[in-house]
Amino acid sequence: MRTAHLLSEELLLAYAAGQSSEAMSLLAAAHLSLNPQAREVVARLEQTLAAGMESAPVASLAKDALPMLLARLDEAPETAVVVPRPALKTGFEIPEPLWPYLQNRDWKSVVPGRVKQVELGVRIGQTPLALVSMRPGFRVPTHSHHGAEFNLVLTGGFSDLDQDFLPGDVSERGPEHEHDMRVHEDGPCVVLVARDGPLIPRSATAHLASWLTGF
Amino acid sequence: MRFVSQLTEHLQAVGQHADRQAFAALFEHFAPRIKGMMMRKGASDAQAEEVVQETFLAIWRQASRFDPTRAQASTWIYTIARNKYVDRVRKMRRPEPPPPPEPEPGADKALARHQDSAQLLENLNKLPPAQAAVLRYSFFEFQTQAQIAERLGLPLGTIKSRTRLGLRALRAHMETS
Repeated sequence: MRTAHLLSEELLLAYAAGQSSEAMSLLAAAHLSLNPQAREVVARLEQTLAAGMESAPVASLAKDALPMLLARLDEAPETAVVVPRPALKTGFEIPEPLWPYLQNRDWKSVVPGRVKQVELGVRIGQTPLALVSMRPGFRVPTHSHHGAEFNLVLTGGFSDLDQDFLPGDVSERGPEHEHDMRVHEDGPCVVLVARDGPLIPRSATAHLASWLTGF
Repeated sequence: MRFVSQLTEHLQAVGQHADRQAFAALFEHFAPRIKGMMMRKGASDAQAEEVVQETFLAIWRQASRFDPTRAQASTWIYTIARNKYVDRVRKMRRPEPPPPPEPEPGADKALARHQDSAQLLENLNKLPPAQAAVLRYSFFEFQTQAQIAERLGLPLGTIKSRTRLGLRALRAHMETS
């Protein structure tokens, strides 16, 4: 079996522990929706955290805690808000955790005919998470970042530094990595991009030329 | 592991016939532990009590969805308490994946393999001390990686890589133990 590219384990731990930001939780939740291996890693971490909880120093409850609780058992639960599937046209099944963040949002062209994106209503610092759709064979010019960059493949695939990324995979690049991405030829690729700050193109000319031509 | 399976039975009794006595027994076991965990996470006394109340209301309402072939009772309850913590203490939304499709053959068996705190401690003790120390803060003190970095006076990057290496080694030990 091909080894999936999982989000690094310390980030999955932060998610399992309820410590991640909303944006990183969303990335993790979408990743888990598509990747059973990541789901299993988180399930094991939750099991370990539960073992920690079992041995946590106990704290005594307020005297009326249990009676108060028992009196509330027959309260009607709040009705859960049902978030509809977003109207956004994608050609693939949008992972459910993304639905609330894509309501009433639409694609905007980035490189006409080649790249379009839709921003989600959640940010890391100043940078919104976004779905980026790239046509087959498109090459993202060589670049690095101010901070970390995560690309979760939702459909299609791309190659980066000689590795292949397929649906459910996450590529995780730090500011120290210079890299480019080439979309596989067999179809368009849509990624969920979470980025901590803007891209730094290797050269302004290369940047401009490649984004205009797509290569 | 009589005690553990008893908690599972209590949870099933709540799910199958709204058994209040079983519910009270679950409360007696888990509520002080959940409150203890919340205090370690930095919640105030009032917030910790609120998380306990909300967690147990959710247990009461959702117990029929508990599936002992997929998770241990303590893990299932842990995830509810964690979600209430994010909601009530951190006041944030927590995106969650939808429930998994049919479990892959063998996957549930691996997960159902019991892991208790004594075993966790034993496995942690087999790791290089620097990695074990970081993971102890994560699993027994419920600290974030940034908090651990501050406590140990080390760069965050060091804590992240020790966490990563430690978790990998821990998993290898768990698979062989």
